[in-house]
Amino acid sequence: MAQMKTTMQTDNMKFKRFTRKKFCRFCADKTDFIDYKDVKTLKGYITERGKVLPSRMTGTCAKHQRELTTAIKRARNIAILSFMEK
Amino acid sequence: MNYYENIVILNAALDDEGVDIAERKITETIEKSAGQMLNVERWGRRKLAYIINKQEKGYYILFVFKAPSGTIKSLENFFKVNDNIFKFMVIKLGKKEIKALEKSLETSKSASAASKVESENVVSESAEEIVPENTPKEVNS
Ligand SMILES: [Zn+2]
Repeated sequence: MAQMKTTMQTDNMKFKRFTRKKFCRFCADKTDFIDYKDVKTLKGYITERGKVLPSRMTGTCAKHQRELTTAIKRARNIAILSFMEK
Repeated sequence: MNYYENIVILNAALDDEGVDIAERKITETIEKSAGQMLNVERWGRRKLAYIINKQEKGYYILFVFKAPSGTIKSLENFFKVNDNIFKFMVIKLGKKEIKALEKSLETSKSASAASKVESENVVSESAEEIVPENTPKEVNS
């Protein structure tokens, strides 16, 4: 019993540490602006179906999340990114 | 004067000459209406992320220029009558983007000055292939 308890606790701690570790990539990298032409970066913030990932999952701050969505919309507009991936 | 970035997707079936003509026409349209071209980047033929006008591929060109807002209207009018251009997007650059652009223009200037000696041989080679005579106004058709 005692052993099970400790493993659960460490799991919990791991999870907590993981959630706390989220931070805004763009703030950390001091990105001047998010370029809609930078497909590599943009692809890290969409699901495999092409939807924009919510900031609560990526840790992106509100300001950069807004910039990110405009960049993704622009990239979709000129067919660099798809609207929907099958 | 504003700074603009303009992506144009040409029909991928166009040959090199057709691309040259289209690029020149766009540059002319911008410069005729008081604009100033800063940079042209050919991305070449790329697969489109989704089908546009029954096309799976497109020839991408990126234009960066400085112009008054009136230029965009004449540019859009030009795009609309041109069958070889099936998609375009004009974006007005923000302060931070302009700063980054000016920096990159400076570095590319010094870089191109350094590589000029090397590239001169290549330029003379390709000059033979360009025939200046047969360049009618096909693009406008
Ligand atoms: Zn941020």
